[in-house]
Amino acid sequence: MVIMTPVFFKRFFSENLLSLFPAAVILSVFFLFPKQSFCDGHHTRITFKRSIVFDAMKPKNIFPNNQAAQIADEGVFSSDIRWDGTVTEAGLITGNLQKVYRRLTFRRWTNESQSNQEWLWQLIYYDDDDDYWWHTPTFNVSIVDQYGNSGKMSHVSDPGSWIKISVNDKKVNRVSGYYDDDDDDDDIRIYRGTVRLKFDISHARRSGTYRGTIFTTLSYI
Amino acid sequence: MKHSSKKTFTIVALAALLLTSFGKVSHATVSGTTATGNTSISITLPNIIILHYLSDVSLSFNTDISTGVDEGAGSWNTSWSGTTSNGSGELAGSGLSDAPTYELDGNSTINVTLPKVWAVRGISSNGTATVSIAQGNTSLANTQSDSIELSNLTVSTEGAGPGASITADLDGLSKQNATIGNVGLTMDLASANTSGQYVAAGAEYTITATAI
Repeated sequence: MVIMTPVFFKRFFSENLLSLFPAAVILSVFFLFPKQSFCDGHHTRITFKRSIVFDAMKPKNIFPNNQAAQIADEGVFSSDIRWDGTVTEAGLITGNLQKVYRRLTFRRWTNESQSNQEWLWQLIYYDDDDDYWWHTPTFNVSIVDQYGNSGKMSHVSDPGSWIKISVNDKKVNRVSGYYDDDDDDDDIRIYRGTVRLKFDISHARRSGTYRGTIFTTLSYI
Repeated sequence: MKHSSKKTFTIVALAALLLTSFGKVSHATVSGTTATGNTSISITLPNIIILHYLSDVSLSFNTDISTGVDEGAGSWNTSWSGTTSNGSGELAGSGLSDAPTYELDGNSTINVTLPKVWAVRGISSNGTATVSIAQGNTSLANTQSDSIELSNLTVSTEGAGPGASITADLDGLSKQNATIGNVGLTMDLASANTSGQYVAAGAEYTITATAI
């Protein structure tokens, strides 16, 4: 690659620009294609989603209503007052404040319809020799934030503001494909994996985007 | 397409394929019967703010005051008819001594801080909120039509204010991390000539918290 790059630029400036259009299209397709996939050299093709943007948290995930601004009437403040203006009662204590929220957690599937994502990974078995042994794959996931902290997603501009994230559920679905006993090469079996994550916002102090990485280990034979 | 153009296209396409392949290998690998892949994930949280407030504030000047103040000795010449003259030590308003436990010192106003009467918590883009106070009906009256006037309403926290509008820290939604604040006001008793309860119709002040 180190040698090829200067060749490319040399040619670029000396050739008809129109001739580079097909190459630009190929580059765009590869760089914008939102998956990472490979074949294992045998009967399978495995694809992992490159990125998933979960549906944003809604206030209704936390509160009884869908309002982002909540108020809590803490009742009466009654105190003696001295002639110098000193008020003798202590006032509110954090531990005695009303809870207001129902919970501080919410959940999302990787195939949440709003997130426009269908799966975390996809495995396709190709029955090209007609005697392939079908296996239902299994998988495990772990999550780290952008600073390498396990079980966290961190705010893009504040490492001190983070979401605790844990795996709430996992599913492997056979979503399509068919099998028959003839000798054609079209038999395939497709499995897709989804994961449901639980987000705990107890330690979040900033609104905005939180990021992390899911590491998926897929066992398929 | 000229021969040189084809060659350029081939080189660029090859480079693209190689680049893409190398990029993928760094994110997904296969080993024996397992494969591993990385997926970047992101999610967005909205602004959320919770304001706790005390809806009814009742202040009582602690007890009925009944106290004697010794203003010293007085002497007068007294006739057999009962009239007095050439007296000394007669009391005058400006010359009265201070009471032992209370005194407005000729000033009818009292500055009062209502401690810890509101709290705020939540999440915002920079981890803070604006808290402001707006004046309502600040004239409190009793049944004798005497009044106490409130003015100079402010909010404050341990680290901000007092002011009509301050910036308060937001440390998330847990109530243990709530920021608790005070309300300051000036109470003018110049027209409070009778005892009893002084109340106002409607709210005396309104506190507003806004995530920023």
